[in-house]
Amino acid sequence: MLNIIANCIGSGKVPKFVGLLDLYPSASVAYSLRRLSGTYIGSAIRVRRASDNAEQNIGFDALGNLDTTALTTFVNEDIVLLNDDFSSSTGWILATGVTISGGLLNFSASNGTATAYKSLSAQPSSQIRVTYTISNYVSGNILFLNFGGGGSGTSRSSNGTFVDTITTVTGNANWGFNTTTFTGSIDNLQIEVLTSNGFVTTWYDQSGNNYNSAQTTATNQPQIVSSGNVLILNTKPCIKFNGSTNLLDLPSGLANVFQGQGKAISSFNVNTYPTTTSQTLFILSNNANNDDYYYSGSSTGLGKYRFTARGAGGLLKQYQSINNFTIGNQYLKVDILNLESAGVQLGSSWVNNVLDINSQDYATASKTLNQGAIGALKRIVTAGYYNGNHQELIIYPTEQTSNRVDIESNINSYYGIY
Amino acid sequence: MAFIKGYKYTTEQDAINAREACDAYYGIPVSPEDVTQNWCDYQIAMLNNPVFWYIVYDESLLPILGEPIEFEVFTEPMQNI
Repeated sequence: MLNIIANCIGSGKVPKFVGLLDLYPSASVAYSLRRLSGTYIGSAIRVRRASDNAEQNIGFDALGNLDTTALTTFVNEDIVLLNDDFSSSTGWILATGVTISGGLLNFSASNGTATAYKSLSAQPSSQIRVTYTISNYVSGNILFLNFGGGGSGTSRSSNGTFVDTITTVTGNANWGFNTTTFTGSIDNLQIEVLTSNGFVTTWYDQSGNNYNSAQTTATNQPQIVSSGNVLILNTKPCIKFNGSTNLLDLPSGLANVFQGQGKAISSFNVNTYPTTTSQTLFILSNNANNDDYYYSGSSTGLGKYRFTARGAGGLLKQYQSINNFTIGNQYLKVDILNLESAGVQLGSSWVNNVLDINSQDYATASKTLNQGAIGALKRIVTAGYYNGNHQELIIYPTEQTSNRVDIESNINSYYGIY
Repeated sequence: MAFIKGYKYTTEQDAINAREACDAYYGIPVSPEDVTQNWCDYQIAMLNNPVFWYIVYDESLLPILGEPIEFEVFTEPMQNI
């Protein structure tokens, strides 16, 4: 396979993994959904599953791909939301005339249309298995559903133990029964989540510098598993940012590397072109002012990328694409700025190995950098949220002009972008 | 300027209280060593006068915070970033 070099073939030894960082080392940070280094033994990502909010690290398979088997096994582990024998009515919201007594949930046809539900947790876009027993059946129909959440079972009208598998849409916290002139009792209700959604809490740095990017707020975490399936972009896993709340924070130590007067920087980023203008691929910035940053993202002209440098006092240097790009298409974007010399900091960009910004001057006043983000313009406040997908972001503290084509080739060989 | 669908608070403490209510509802953090420490987060609309705090809408917030509203948040023009 691509990243395995069997330098021990014939010797009986296990082939040594050789990744991009082994060939082109000394990155400041390297986030990827593939293994980038033979010496890196950590995980690729840490994931929170929506079913019960548990977290787990996910690593790589033997070939250096994201271990999608471990990922889906973890996210889709069966989680029991409710196992109720109706020995108590605590938490149940019962329509008039509906009772919980004698270890049963009891309905009477005299109530006409009646409901009984319990607030648990919303499970959007999930497959749910519901098991319950009907006894003392006399008349009418009963249906299990996720109230307002877009999933319901089969209407039942007899005694027996029934199993429904339902698929939610938006999901709702309220789960229970809806009846029509139903007389009968319910017992042994079990609700299990079979497939769920997974969100990235941490994208681990494979450079060895431990500059992990993380998101501590659940609703801000980008997604990697949807409805039980790994999100895929051009046959490879991707991390989806929703364009409204999702971002991964970059650590202050990483930002510090690039602060000061005109430091060199080279970034290699596999992404999809954003859904609109001024969306952020990544930024290195300052939490106390809006002046100091390096920004890579879409420009104010739709279909264009841009790279921006801004220093103390707000002097802005931004340049946008020569070429045009398509919303949602996968691209390899490369930005390289030289070390500032004699008040000039030349920088260029390439997309899919085609020159896109040609040797512009990015020199500004000195920058103080102490934070950053993937997927949002994080400064004093946060804006410019990215609606798109990330697969890899590698940043070097040096200009990588001489290695650019080879690094791009390595990345493109894996992702098949162009 | 952006139109935000969400929940608006006149004090930071009110925003913190709303966030804590969401944490309690969803049982976050599930365990102390988890990365996830809050269910939702709040932001400050510091270019608005008066300043206020807000939480961006997410469907998961409905059972705790109720129906969202829409309001304006002033931001720096994006062409100037």
